[in-house]
Amino acid sequence: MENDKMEHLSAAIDGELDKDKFVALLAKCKRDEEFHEQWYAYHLIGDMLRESTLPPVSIHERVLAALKDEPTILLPGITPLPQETAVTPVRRWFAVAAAVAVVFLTTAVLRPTPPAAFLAQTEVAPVKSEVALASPPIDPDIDTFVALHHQGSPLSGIQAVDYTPQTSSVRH
Amino acid sequence: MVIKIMSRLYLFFSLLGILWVHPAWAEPDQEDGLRILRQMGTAAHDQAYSGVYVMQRGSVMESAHVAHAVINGVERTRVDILDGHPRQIIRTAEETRCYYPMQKKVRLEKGFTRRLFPALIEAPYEHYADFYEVSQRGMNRVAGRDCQRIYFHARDRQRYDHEFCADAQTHLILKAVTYDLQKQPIETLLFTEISEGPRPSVDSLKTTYDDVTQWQQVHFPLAGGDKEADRWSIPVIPPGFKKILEMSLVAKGPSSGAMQHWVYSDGLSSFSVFVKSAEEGEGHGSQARILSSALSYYSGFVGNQRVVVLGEVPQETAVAIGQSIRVKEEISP
Repeated sequence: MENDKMEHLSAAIDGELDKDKFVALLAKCKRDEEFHEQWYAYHLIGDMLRESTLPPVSIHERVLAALKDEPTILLPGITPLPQETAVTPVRRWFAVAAAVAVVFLTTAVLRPTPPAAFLAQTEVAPVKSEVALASPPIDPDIDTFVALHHQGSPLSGIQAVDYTPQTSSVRH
Repeated sequence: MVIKIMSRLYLFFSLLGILWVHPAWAEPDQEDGLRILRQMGTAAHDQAYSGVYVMQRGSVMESAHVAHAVINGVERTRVDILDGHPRQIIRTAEETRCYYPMQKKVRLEKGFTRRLFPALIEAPYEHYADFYEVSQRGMNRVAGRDCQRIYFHARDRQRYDHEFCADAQTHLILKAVTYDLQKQPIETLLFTEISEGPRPSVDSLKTTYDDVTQWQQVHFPLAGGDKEADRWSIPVIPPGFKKILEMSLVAKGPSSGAMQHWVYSDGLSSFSVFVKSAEEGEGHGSQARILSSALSYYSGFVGNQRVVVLGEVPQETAVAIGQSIRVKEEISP
């Protein structure tokens, strides 16, 4: 009898149990703690095999349908994880990674930001759509502007004295 | 068990995180930072040295020889460009002379502080800390010498990061790198060889061109431009950038015609703003790009005036500056 119940449960989770038997199984086992544990364990195994957190669609739909009839029974009780499954090396490293990620996210949010005065002025207006960034025509005056910038900047082109006609600009 | 492990790890890393984000730990000691800046700044002026350095900007690379000394209380520098057409820079306390032998031209710069490598850091040193986080990043070797890496991390995204490597003994800057926002180097200056002695003679710091009296003399900066500059408003100037030059000029070459030229600098980077009348048939669109010289470029129009922003700033900054330029409203008397 016990084996039948578990076989039915397994078949239900695999979507192979017909609706009537499925509803009957739920009704029979709604207060059965062992059944709740097995329900959780089977789902966990299924999720791991499928690498998914969602149950199969067919089961999902059938559970929803059953919920309408038995609104109080379908959520298994909170079942503590067995200690043996909790302390696997994989889980331990996952816990380390999760902790580091949480700390990184929280500290990134809390990191000091520039003074408000900075922020007020550091807002750069978004580039307007009419600014053509992709292969615009070459500006024939670019060399002139670059030469003038180099000769006028105390830092840019600091070492090279440009040998260009533009350096002989005269006062206007 | 997992919950316990996670809780302990979270507590441990949280404490580390708190230490990290606490301002007292996040910022290097301000006095220490100022001391380093002062050492780098004064070393380039007070010491005698000579060497060869290479500069790479975008796809352009050049090398130069520099000699520097303080003789009878006067600081003297000579720079010879070793690639391409010969060029020479002679600098004393009073002026900087740039010699163009191919053009038989000499440009005289007075009242304008042109920074010559390795004298890139200048007082007031506190100014740097306002806009850059200055920190030490360990040691490196440049030109066969141990040097201390000093990183200038921009406090906003409107300017680039810079890194210097200062000689561990003399504090001279042996290497300077400017990084773009993706932390890729866009400009590098570094000594390939350097020596501190013997002190160069006065003659060795003078120009090698004998008779320059017949050469064309060009004075720089050109006077004028202040009245025209008053007509224009540039609301989006990144904090820390000050106008250091304004000129009204007629450029020769492909682009002729009168134009206004203003230069802004934060002490480590600079950008130029040009305003000139739009030429007939010139489109009124805008464009922005990064030039092969690693300069950001923006060109747009305000009425019938063309405005161009060009400099060592992120492209977004150049665009924002350019798009903010306006003609001030006329105030009737």
